[in-house]
Amino acid sequence: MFLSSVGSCVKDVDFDQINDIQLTPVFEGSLVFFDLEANKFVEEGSEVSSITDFTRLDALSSSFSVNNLVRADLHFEFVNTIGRSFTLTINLLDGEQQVLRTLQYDIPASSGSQVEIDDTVVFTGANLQQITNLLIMEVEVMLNNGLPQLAETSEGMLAMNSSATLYLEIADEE
Amino acid sequence: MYIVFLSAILGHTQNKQLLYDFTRIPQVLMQNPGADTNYQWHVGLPFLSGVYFNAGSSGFSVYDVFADDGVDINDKIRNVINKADSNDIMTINEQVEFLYGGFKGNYGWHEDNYYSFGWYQELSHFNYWPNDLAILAYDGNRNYIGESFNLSHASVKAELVSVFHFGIQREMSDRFTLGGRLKVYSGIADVSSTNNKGRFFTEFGQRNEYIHSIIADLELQTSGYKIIDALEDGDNIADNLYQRFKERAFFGGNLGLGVDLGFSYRLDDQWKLTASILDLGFIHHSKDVKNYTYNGRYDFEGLELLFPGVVDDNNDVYDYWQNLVDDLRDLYDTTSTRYTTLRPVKFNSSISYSFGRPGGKICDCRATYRDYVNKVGMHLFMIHRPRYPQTALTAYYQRRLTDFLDVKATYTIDKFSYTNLGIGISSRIGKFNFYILADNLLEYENLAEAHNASVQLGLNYIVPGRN
Repeated sequence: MFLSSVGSCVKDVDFDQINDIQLTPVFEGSLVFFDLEANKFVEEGSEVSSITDFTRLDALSSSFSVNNLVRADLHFEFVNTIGRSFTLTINLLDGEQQVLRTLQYDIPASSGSQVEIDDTVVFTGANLQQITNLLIMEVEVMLNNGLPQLAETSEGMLAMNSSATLYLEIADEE
Repeated sequence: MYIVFLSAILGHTQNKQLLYDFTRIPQVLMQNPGADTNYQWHVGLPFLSGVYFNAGSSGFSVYDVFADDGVDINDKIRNVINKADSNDIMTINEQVEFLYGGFKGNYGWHEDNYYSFGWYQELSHFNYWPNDLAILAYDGNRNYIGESFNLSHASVKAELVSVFHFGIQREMSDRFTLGGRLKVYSGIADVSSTNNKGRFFTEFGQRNEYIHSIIADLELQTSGYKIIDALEDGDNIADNLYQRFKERAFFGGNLGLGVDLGFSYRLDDQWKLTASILDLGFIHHSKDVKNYTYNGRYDFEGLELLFPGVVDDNNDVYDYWQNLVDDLRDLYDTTSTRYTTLRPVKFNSSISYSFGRPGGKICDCRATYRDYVNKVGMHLFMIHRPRYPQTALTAYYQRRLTDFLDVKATYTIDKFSYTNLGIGISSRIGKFNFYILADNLLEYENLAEAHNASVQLGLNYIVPGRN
């Protein structure tokens, strides 16, 4: 009897709205970075034309991101104080090591002051799967032919910073 | 305006201001074992002698979120998040008496004693509004670079206990009644996470764009998780739960001990002072214990590539990512260490003044204090909470309308609310006593807007005392 009277005095409430609840947080997160001294490109006195490193990065391919990620921006920032130019290739690879996306940057040589390059790559719509399938990020740094010749004592540094802005939409799955 | 005003109301779970000092109802002894009742004996109708339910939310109401007003629910949630703060509380409390009875001693020393005993079940949930965590989930960290998310905002306590009790109320003199009750708790399930510390923050980094830091001292203690497992085993929830409940409710759970103490003192025929302290006790959790801790500091600036990629003896690539995952996992631990929780201690005190005799008789020298038909009083309630005690002050008026009907009206204020009116009715038809007590009447017009509401009702059989 009491319960029925309670029922009658709850009004103007629509619990179906729970289906419309949508969280839209935006997260900023650091990704990979490196600081490469000029002598990293010298081995036993001679130049190394290319070095590569890679890391697993499967935070973005979790089922949570796959279901809720609507947009991802990757930000890259390169700083060069070495007197030589570089070509930097970033490969986004999936679990089968297939390339999902290649990003390439030409980094000019420094002529005393530091060279800065910025880029933001936006992934939305069909491109989004390049992020949600991403399992490995590979970074290849190529030392372009030129002068001055690098030696163990050469000054300068090539640095990369990167971060991601992730736009999520978390809603009740129908 | 009305809603804004309501938003400031603090729920006051377990304040039984309507029952306290309502000595026509035997359950009053559960609020003050030294209440000056006058029964030969009483027995509650099993399972229906005391049913209590209370829910409260101080930060926002159901209506604030689910109002059918054409406003997008996400905008309403946004308002709630802006409005609520980390000291807002959400509570649910439910009690059912399975058995309750009492009798007066009938010879020698026992003649001045009233013994009462019973078995009830109690479910309680309490949490502070996890303000910063809600903001993090709703907004993310992008607009909060350089600001901290406070992890101590996560504070929750929930328990399901079965309580066996035995109390003695003794009339020390005509004026002074003293009482005590021993309680044995059988904890069925418990979740407790109230001492969390720490913060999460993102700042601009030195070597990479951002540096993310977590400084954490978090702990979640649980016991009776097999109950929860039973819930997760979807096929036979009812059977499983009942089985677990049966095992745990009869001293098979995590055992604890506690006492209630209280007194009533008549300053004269009309003035009365009472006080009680309830659930001064603990539960020791040793069965089905699972604790989760997250402890330490981690700063993450990104994955630093060292060039060239390192391949180890197993031809595996050095995994910067796995390193991060492992480091974070190192902060996490599970244990089955036994733990002890204190029950939420409650304190009550009242002072009341009785007046007015039936039929307007000015002096009937044989009349006692029991013959006054009106009583006004003040009641103070406090309950221990993880951060600070919750307090409520009630003014009340009680009147015997007829030989078979007593009513009590209450007006309660607490830290934020000035609008809580309650009413209680206790009737006696023959020797049957039916009572119903409900507060926050102003909001029954639309319960969804209520920030707090409680109701208690029950049926007893009472043989009254002779004087």
